[in-house]
Amino acid sequence: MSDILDDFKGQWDAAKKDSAKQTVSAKDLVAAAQQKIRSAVLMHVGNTAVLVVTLIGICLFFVYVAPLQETLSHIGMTLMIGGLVLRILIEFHSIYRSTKIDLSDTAFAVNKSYMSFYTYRKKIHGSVTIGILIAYTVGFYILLPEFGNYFTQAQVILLALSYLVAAAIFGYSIKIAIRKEVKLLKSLIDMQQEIADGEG
Amino acid sequence: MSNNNVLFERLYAEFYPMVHHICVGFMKGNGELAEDLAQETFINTWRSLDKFKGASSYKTWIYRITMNTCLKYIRDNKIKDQVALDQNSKVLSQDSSHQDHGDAHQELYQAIGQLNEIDRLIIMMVLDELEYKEIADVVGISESNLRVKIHRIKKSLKEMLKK
Repeated sequence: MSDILDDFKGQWDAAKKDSAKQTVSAKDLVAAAQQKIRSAVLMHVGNTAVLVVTLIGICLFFVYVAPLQETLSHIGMTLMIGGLVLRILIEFHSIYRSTKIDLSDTAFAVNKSYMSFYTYRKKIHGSVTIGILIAYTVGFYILLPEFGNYFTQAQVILLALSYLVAAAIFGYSIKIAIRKEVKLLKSLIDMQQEIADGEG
Repeated sequence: MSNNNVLFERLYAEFYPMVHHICVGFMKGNGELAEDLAQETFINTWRSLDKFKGASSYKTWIYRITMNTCLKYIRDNKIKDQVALDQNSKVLSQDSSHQDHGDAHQELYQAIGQLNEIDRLIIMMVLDELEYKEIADVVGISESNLRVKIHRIKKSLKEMLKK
């Protein structure tokens, strides 16, 4: 090694000697890794559980509270339940894809995998989720006329209005998630350009 | 004890100083953050053990995990706009005695710290005397491109020192 790096090399080797010794045992690190895997699984299960509980709640509602009979209502129920089932399946697929990123691959390959994953997430949080939300909303409003057989008019109006509030909150959370993922994607693209800069 | 755990203990004992030192340089001499990052690297190493195919040496393989863990850290924290590693690492580091490496080797870390993250990691591997072929294998670029990058990094460092 020549030139400027010679000076740095001396300092680097000296700094290496001063470098800290292990403060945590291998056994504790393995325990932390196992805990981390458990936490990640719990987080994913938690997110999906919210959707599954909603799905079960809606199904129970249609069976015990408002057993709707009309064909139009069946279409509405299918749109709502189908949308939720699709979202749950996508969530599982997303979890599966995230576990496929191999941090022991080259930096270029890992960055590329993250880019692909977050492009997919952006699509899910964007067009796919918005599509599902629209289908769910259409499904819900199709049910309203037959809801009149089970609830008072005031209750139906309250249901319709409260849905709007819930949809607005959900829509806002989608917007935040997309913004976050776009930012992350941009940072990944910048990094990829830095890594690949000069490659033919 | 499983075979993986035995192997992990061996890798941890052998490569911790190397990984820790890279992390100190990456974190511009901040010993506390470097220690968290080194632990995070070994947590990722343990999780990747089954994926090791023997195509490269353990040393190169761990360098890859170190580089990817460092870059992931920077990405995550750019987004969150905060300086914190995951809770596991925090808990683990609570009992440890931290050492700030910034004072003793200030010039080195200051100079390296001015480089962008990728260049910083590359130059540290050069200082660690990794073969160019191995560094190219860690980063995932051609050896000729690596040489160009290293030339450019040296030029940047020279200009920084002149100032």
